[in-house]
Amino acid sequence: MNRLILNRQSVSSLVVLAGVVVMLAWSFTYTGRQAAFPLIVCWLMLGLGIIDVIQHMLGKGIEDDTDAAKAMHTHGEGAAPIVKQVMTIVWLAGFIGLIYLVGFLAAIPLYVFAFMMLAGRMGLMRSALTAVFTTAFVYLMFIQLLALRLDGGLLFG
Amino acid sequence: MTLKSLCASAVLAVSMIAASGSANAAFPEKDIQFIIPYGPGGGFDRAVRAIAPFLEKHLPNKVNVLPVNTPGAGGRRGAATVYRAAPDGYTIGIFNMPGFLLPAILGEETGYDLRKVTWLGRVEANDYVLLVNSKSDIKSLDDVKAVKNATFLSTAWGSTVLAASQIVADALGLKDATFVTGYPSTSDYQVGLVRGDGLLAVAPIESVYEFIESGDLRPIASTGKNELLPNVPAFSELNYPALDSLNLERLVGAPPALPDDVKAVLEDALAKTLADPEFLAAAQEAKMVLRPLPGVEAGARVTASIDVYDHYKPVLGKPAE
Amino acid sequence: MLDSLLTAMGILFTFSGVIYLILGVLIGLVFGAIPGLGGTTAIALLLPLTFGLEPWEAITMIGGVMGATTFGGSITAILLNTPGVAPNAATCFDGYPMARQGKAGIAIGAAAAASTLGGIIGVVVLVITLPIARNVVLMFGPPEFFLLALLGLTAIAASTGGDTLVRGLITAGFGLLMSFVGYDDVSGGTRFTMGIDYLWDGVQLVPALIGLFAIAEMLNLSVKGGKVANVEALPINGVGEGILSVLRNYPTLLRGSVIGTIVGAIPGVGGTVAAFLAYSVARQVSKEPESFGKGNVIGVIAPESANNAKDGGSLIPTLAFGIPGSAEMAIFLGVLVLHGLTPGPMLLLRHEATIFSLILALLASCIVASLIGIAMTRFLTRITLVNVYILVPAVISVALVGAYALHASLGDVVMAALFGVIGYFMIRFGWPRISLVIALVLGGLAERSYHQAMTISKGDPTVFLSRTVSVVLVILILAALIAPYAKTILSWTRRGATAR
Repeated sequence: MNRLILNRQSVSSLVVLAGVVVMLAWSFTYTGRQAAFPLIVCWLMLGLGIIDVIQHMLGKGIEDDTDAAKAMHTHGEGAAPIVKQVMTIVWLAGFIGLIYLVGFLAAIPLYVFAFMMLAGRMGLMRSALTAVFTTAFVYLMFIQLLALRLDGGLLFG
Repeated sequence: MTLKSLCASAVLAVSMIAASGSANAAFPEKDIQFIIPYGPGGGFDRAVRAIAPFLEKHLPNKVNVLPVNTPGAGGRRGAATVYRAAPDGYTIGIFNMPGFLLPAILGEETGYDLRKVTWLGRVEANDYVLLVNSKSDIKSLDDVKAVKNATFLSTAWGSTVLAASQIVADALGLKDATFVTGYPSTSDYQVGLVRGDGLLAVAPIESVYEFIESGDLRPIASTGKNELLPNVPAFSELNYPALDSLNLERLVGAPPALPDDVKAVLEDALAKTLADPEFLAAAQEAKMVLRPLPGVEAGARVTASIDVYDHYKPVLGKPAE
Repeated sequence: MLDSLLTAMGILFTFSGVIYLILGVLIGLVFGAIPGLGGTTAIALLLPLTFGLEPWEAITMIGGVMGATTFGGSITAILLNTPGVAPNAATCFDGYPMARQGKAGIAIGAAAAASTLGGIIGVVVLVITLPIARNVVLMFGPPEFFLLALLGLTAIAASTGGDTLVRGLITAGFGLLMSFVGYDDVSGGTRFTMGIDYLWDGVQLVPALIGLFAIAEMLNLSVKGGKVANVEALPINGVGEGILSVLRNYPTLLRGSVIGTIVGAIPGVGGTVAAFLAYSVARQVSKEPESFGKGNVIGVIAPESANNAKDGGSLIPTLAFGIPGSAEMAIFLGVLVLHGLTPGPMLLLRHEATIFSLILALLASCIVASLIGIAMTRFLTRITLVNVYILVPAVISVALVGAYALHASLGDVVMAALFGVIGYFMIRFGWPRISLVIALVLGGLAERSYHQAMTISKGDPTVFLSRTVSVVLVILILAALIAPYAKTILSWTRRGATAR
């Protein structure tokens, strides 16, 4: 029996399989015509998900050296410490929260400036300028040219 | 600034705020939002954009009336937005009757109660017409009643068109009628009818007039005498007076418990708009079907509609699986 | 008919006509290029502003926008591996590798020429089909729509190929499940919404696309750091060579354009499926399919010609019956309604000149957009040399405003961000995103059409073989399923023969 491979790829296969099982269970809560398509899709995905887990955990049947596969893997490859990944998501979440609280026009310059200075360690000048330009672009393009209404969020709404 | 002058300014500011709060005679003082519960480009959108500039003209003080698209949940998001807004006259909206009524009838949550909305007036009212493919043998209502296993085409479940179709089918005694639902828009199921996906369809005259004019579809009866279709009998003329109560109305409403003086200002401006000859010309160009009614009558129409659709509730349920 | 055409030309070739066209083209290019915005958003935002304009002014401007967006988006796809609009997703596959090899100029030139010629061919097919447009539209009912959706879904299977086949199908499955979220139009009742109001309308396509492609790429970039381009100085000449390559590969151009026009004519399906289908067909018929994904210029020509040809195609059902062939067309019809023109079977008969205005504006826009794009290539390729920490927050900011703009809904912004995170993990762990998108687009159509077809036929499954068109579609589906294995089967039979 070959060793079971546990890497980034195979773990993701397991996680996805778990997700499929959840969706399948959820689909069972519906009846009749409504449930038809979700159930068919979930059953098919279950079969495919099991094949995927087997392929990645046992290393069977994967032609890892096709160029498409290589391209897909290198795209996501590279140094990606967990901390950095988490922080990237945290920055995004923070931006969304900021938008909710103070609205786009205040959130954008704050986010751009903070991101460039803290995450990117770019200088004060560049960060401020980029923040201003981005906000100006949004203002001119959306508010002036296209009359979009951007309200002030929870605090200034 | 000395402490004394600071206090004086504060007292002045507070008293001004208090004064403006109670002086609704100064209404409107800032821009009014006119909520459209659908995306840009539909009939409701068009109606509001046609009305807004004239409303501005007929309101006292120079304020803007801003059309705001708030689509979502089939119109419920926009309706709920108006319903929950502060009753200060600065948020009004256009309502779809019976569209916004049906979810409650079908037992769904809505986030608004149409009986409590402050009605400012009705703008448009569209009758429905019963249609068949021009190539079909069905030429009169009697022919329709003789059909076995009638198939009606309509838009989504919960739509006004489906409700109208179900009510018509029931009234005409078509016991084994089936409904093919889910066509994305009125045009889609009109084409379906031309294609032969089904036998019958009910549609608002305004949406379907082009297909009648082009000769693709034949009108059998309508829910009211209509200038666009002078040769088509109304259901009431064919001994089905109850069906004439079916139509599609566009009403303007405001949040519940609107103060009377604010309501009067808005109602008045709307009434003047709907009588303004310049507006009538613009409405004509925009192909609006104007059937204006003042606030009180509009409210009465709403209550009447609620009763009609309540009465037909048993017919409007989902089909057996 | 000829005098309507001349009238339309007379309107377009005036000073103000040209101004409106160029304004539309510029908005289209910018909205197309910036990931997260796009033609649909641009036109939706422009619609109320056209209220004060004459119908032909509004139409010329919007025609300008429509013809320009996908070319604008191709530039971002090539330079940043981020499709400006979803139909450019397939352009990333080969366009970006070309940019990294220093061939950005060639790729952009190819995209420009493919977009222009594809758009022109789309319009030509439209004009040829017009006399029979009604019959064509009538040939496709719910059973045929179901088969078409199925064909689109099998194309995913047939083309993701190799290692990613199984994963492509799984993500397609998730895409299908997402398309089932929300209110069920056919049977009533909500599914998979967890009681959240926002999900009543289902998973919205635009925020999902913004998240999966624009934001996910930005997240990926910010984790990787550095600059987009590995090459220090990007040579941006080669635009001319790119243009010539389109002419040399005219079979690909023709195939892509025809596929684009046909798929564009199917209501609700749109440019993403068209571009992807064109790409996968090009790969299937190629003598060296392994070269795709490594910088084969054909991989740019096919999708770019398709995503412009679709504009012509989407006018077919629009002009025949007033059914919009694409999301942009749907909003465009709203513009018509606003100006008192009623969409419907009489539209072409009554307002011939106005419709020709649109067609001419579309044609002109394809040409003008490409010219402007080419002129700005040198400036644009600089973007790849910009530090990611400047690019990422700027692009994310504008993309999220774009997500908000379409329905004034903060829910769309959250959805876009969520999809951004999901998309990032899909990149990181090697799960294809494009199949999710295609399935999300096609799922609703498939389910709805199937149930409608069964209701119409009262449960009789032979309804799926009742028309010639449906039989053809079934054959195509079977062919698409067998095709990847055809070569293997052939070699077995040959081996069997020689063994005897």
